[in-house]
Amino acid sequence: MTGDPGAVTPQSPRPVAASAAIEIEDLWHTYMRGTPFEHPALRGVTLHVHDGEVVGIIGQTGSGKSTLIQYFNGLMRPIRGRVIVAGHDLGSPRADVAAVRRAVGLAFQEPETQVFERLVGDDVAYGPRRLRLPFHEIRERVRWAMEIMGLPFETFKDRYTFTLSGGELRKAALAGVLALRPRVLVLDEPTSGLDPRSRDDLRARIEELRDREGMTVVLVSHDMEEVVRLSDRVYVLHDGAVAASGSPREVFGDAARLAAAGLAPPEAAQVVQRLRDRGYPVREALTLEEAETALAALLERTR
Amino acid sequence: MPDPLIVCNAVEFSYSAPSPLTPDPRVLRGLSLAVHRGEHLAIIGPNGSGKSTLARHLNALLRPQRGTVLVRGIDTRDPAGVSLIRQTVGMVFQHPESQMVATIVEEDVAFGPENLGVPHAELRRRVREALETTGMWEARDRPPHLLSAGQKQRVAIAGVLAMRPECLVLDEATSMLDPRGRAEVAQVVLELRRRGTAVVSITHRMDDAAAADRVIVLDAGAVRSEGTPRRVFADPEALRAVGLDLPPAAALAAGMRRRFPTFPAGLLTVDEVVEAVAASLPARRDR
Repeated sequence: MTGDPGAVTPQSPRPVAASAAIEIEDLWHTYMRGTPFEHPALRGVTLHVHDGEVVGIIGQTGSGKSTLIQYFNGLMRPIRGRVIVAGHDLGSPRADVAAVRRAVGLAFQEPETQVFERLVGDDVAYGPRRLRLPFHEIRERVRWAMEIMGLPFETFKDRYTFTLSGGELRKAALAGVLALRPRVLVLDEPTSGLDPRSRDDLRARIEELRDREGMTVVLVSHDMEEVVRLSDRVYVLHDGAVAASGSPREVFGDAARLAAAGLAPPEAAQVVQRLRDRGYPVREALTLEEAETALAALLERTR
Repeated sequence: MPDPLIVCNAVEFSYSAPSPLTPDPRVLRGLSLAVHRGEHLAIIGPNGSGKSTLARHLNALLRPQRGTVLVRGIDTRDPAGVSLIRQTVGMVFQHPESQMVATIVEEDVAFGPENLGVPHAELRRRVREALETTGMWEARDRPPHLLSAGQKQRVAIAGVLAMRPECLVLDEATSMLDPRGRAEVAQVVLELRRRGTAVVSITHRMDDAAAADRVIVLDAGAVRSEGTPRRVFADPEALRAVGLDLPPAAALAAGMRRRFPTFPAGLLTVDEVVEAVAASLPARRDR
């Protein structure tokens, strides 16, 4: 859990390093330019990801999220706008794209479809081996990545990948990205398609990455409960532009703006908001726990 | 009550033979259930509980190794019945791209019935009706790959509807969609129910399941429990035991009930929880 709601101040969710891990300024992108199907995907997006923070990106399908994250590790290069990742200006033809790819670990949707080794340990080690790291370093990275994903190294390293459950396979795939020790981890819908137990487990792992390792994470998700629980800051994309940004509390507190972007706050927050709209003296709440406490206070008081 | 549309009786299925690693590879272990005409049935269960394997048994994509699956009384193991079974039960999967064949929406929807040899005038009528039911008629001239994910999924559903099935199976068909896309598909499901088409939704989203007439909980390849959503979600402990949970609004209601035993049981939606809280308070003070 994110702890005491009062601890999160809207203006500065967490201390922020001087330089940003990802800086995007006024970025534009048009698909199929010069054809009848030309359509703009990004229209002047400005977004910063600072070291040590978890940034949630939400928006409807087609709002530009997937296009945007392809800029984060140099899969796309800016034609109009500025993209600086880990200090490398991707607008420059001489940019060190290899260094950018080392700095940003991109975990696409359903990353388990990219698992191909027979043994779990080999699959997680694939990336570090390609980096030609010394053997003991590879082993340490694999151990670290598997442990933090909740796959104990000794138990899982020699397991056949095809015997893992869906949730375990997803975690093994994410461990493979983590083993590259990226400066920024980009997760695109990390829990989609998982059952509730595996989903909660994976969320707890991401929380641990944030709290214990201070990992910088970009989280793209359709699940508002997930975004509220994990993010320090949130950007709302709509029609290729940033429609809102700020702490989860600021962004989800503005229900009208959220609705205009085709989104809605988590259900528990909706219950509380609807009661407030009807004039009941109930405290604002965002998470399930907060809503429960707020409603309990309301019922106690009037009892 | 008329005969059910689909009856699964003690179905067993495994993808591989027993081995030292997996001594019992059965994915379905004596599963029995019925799908009734015109109902909206949700099937929930943890990863690996056999949901998708079950879905593929409902229209003879897979056939039981033991037990039987009858669709309108036809055994899915009877090769002569497969074509009628596939017209009766249509499937839509998680990734609509995997079942799109044409470069224009209208042609994609026409593909299925055209292959059934449906005459041209009837074909046009069916395609129009299917696209109107899913709200995609306006987009009929567009290439499917330029549609949003929710729109693609609606085109995939239209392609199945054009075959005039009596039952539509949605296998995780909303899991990759945003909230609006999910609402679009939910709207189509309501419309189908109004027209008397049965819908089986296989889903991880408890809020989707809460909208069904009936919910079946699968665990380890067998039916763990079944009933109305209100009944199934009234027992959060039983759900947690198999790795499932409550829809978010229902979880809030369950929390309130733990604190206040008089708080009503079995609430599922945001509306219901708001009304229950309001009802348990004295008339509100004017602001």
